[in-house]
Amino acid sequence: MRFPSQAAKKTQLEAACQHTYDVVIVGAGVAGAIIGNELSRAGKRVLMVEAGLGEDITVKGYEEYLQRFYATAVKDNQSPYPVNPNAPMPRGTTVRPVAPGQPETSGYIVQTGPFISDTTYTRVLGGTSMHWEAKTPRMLPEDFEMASRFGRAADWPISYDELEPFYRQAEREIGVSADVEDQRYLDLRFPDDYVFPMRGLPLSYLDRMVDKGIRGTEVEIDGERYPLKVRPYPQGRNGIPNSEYDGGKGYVPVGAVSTHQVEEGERCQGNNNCVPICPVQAKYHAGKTLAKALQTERLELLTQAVASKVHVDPETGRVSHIEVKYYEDPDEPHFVTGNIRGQLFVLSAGAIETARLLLASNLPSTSGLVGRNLMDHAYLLNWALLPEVAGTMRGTNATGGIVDLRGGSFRRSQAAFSVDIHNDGWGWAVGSPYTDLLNLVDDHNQFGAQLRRDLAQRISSQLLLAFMVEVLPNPSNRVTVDPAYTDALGNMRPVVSFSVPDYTMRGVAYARRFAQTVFQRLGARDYTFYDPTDYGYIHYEGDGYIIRGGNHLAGTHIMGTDKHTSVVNSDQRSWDHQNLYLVGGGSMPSIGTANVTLTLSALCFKTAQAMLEELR
Amino acid sequence: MDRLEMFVEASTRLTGFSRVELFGTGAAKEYLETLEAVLETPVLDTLFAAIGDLVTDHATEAEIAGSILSDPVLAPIVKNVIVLWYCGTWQQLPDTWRASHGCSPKDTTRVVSANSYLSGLQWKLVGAHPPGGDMQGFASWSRPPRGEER
Ligand SMILES: Cc1cc2nc3c(=O)[nH]c(=O)nc-3n(C[C@H](O)[C@H](O)[C@H](O)COP(=O)(O)OP(=O)(O)OC[C@H]3O[C@@H](n4cnc5c(N)ncnc54)[C@H](O)[C@@H]3O)c2cc1C
Ligand code: SF4
Repeated sequence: MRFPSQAAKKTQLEAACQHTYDVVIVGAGVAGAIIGNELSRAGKRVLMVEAGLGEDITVKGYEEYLQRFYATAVKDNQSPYPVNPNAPMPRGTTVRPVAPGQPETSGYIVQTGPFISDTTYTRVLGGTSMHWEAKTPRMLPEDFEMASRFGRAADWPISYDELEPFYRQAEREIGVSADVEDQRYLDLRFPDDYVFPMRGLPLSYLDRMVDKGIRGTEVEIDGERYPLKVRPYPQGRNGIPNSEYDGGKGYVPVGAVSTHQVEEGERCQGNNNCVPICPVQAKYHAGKTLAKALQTERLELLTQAVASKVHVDPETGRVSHIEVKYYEDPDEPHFVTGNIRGQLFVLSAGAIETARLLLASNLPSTSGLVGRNLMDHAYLLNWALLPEVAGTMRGTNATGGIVDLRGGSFRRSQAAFSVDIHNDGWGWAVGSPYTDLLNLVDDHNQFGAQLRRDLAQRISSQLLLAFMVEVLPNPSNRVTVDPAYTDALGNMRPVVSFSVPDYTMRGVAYARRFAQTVFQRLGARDYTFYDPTDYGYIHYEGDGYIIRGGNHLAGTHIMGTDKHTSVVNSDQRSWDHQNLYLVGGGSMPSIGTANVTLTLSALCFKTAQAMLEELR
Repeated sequence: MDRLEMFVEASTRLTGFSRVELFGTGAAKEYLETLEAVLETPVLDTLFAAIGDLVTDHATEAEIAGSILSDPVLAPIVKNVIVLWYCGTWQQLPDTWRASHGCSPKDTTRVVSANSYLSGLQWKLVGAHPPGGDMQGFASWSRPPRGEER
């Protein structure tokens, strides 16, 4: 995919301030990129404002990310991405436990607890999609009807069937590899002749070992029985194109993005580095969509520009302009201010940043729900050693999982979950393989042939099950701002308070027992240990668990049918400001057990359609 | 035998990997230089005297465990060398050690170089590949693991 080389020469602030664009988009992640691409292709003049650094999307910028990653001793989630005090981002390693009543302020997000999360998002061109793992399941039909089916949360203002065509558009844009026959479960419906753009990625050897061990096992909850099996996940990474796609037209995968011709990224190589960066760009990232949009020459990119205030005409309630702070050097707090004008405005800065920007702008809100109902999946990790070598450490981060408990009548009383089988061993839980090595060498004085044998044995029989547990909206889980906490440019930082609801904790407690059942069936030895001093430690009904953040941020400007109980309508248009669209995970009124990006992308296709109608 | 030869020869006993495999990482010289930069001359001399004996005497594993690996001055260094080969990371020496044998400014926990990370033996060991480095190819993950790790 060609990235027009002039695009790297960024639009200058003064030039941008001269125009009134058809559409101004804040945030160049996947949500903003989809809308920018759809509108510019339809002939609209679009300005995209991005807080992060700009030249990173080409192969050269990519190389810099990789070298930075290799050379960092502590390989935290964000290690490839440069520290930028002018557009800071949360970094897992800065999270610490807090004393009760004391906010955790060492990271970019100020956390007042009680639950302290290591959840993260990335502020560079392309947004968090540079970093994501790219699992792309759809939400279940029942996820859209939580209130009417289970008496929980609220129903969505649109149904699965209404969103279904937009799911297909998102699957085309992201380039999803999956086989329909594997994905028809729990009432997930596809048109009869539908196939995904690319064939499904094969399950790992480890997945198949787990599958063999659990086949024939059933669990019972709420009087219903669920037979267990391992299913492949749909993935936003390149596999073998399906020749039957699009009525036999087939699909051409989008490889690496560069200013010159490169031949890579057309197929996933299985090198298990999807998070925090895929070295060959086989994994989808928003730069692929941005490159297409830039080719229209109707989309301009203004990078290093942090949207700082949304201005509204008090008479009409319409947004008049957005104030941005433009900086030259990420290490210098110096900036100049400019006002960006347009007919329609889109905030696609991610669930936390979009809410932060609205709150910092001090805009009136009829529902009072801006920033509230923050959601993120709760992850519970369980780890064990298999009785035989399973080839762990090969493949994408997770090729398969157990998804049978994503839905069911038990959701009246406890959270649903899906289970990822991690191909990268215990890395997420305890830092393998580095920690295994230190343990054998430093603590057990091992060396030579025995070290070689024992370490190989230990790493390649590791099994880690990551349970992604549903979290429902709760108005008191929220993002706010506080002038006491600002970043280098003087923008207020997000302040998050969050507690994990009991509904989720019931699911978590069940998940732990479920993991024990699976380990038992596999003859695996359970090594799971939840350290009570860990920042994510939660005590629930006599047992302790460590909950990790899910990076699936949602709910800060939920959609609905009424301006008093929601912030946006089903087109993601703000009820209070007619020419303002708030897009991304923030619009989702519930998140079920699907990683959020495919769904938020589908919503953006719907929004682009509505915006085009409005501009007509 | 020069220092590099001696270093690699001793490393074969410490890591369980052959000379060819160790030189194959392309990192041998860099690791020796790391040692030379971090350690003060008297410690370095003691280390290489011990390594010299070990290599010329064809010491058995039990003898190695009984000599350099139980020496309070040398053991932390030798363990660091093993960790270096396996994952390319130099670990800061223990505080007590630093207090009596010198704290070089180079003695910090760090990845020696991008290459050292990529050529870590830990990846080779499990028939894998460093995250972000050499790749195995589409669908390779669905095949049974190769012989090494059995
Ligand atoms: C480790 C990890 C793994 C993940 N795995 C998956 C997965 O497997 N499947 C899945 O579905 N999802 C996954 N996610 C989540 C996924 O990455 C996000 O849902 C998705 O990228 C969000 O896209 P977005 O465009 O809404 O927001 P973002 O990607 O966050 O983009 C927001 C953009 O806005 C910019 N911005 C922010 N503030 C401002 C401002 N004030 N002014 C101007 N610009 C601004 C940012 O720099 C950024 O470019 C994962 C996330 C992480 C961190
Ligand atoms: S497994 Fe490797 S090639 Fe495939 S998407 Fe992940 S990082 Fe990219």
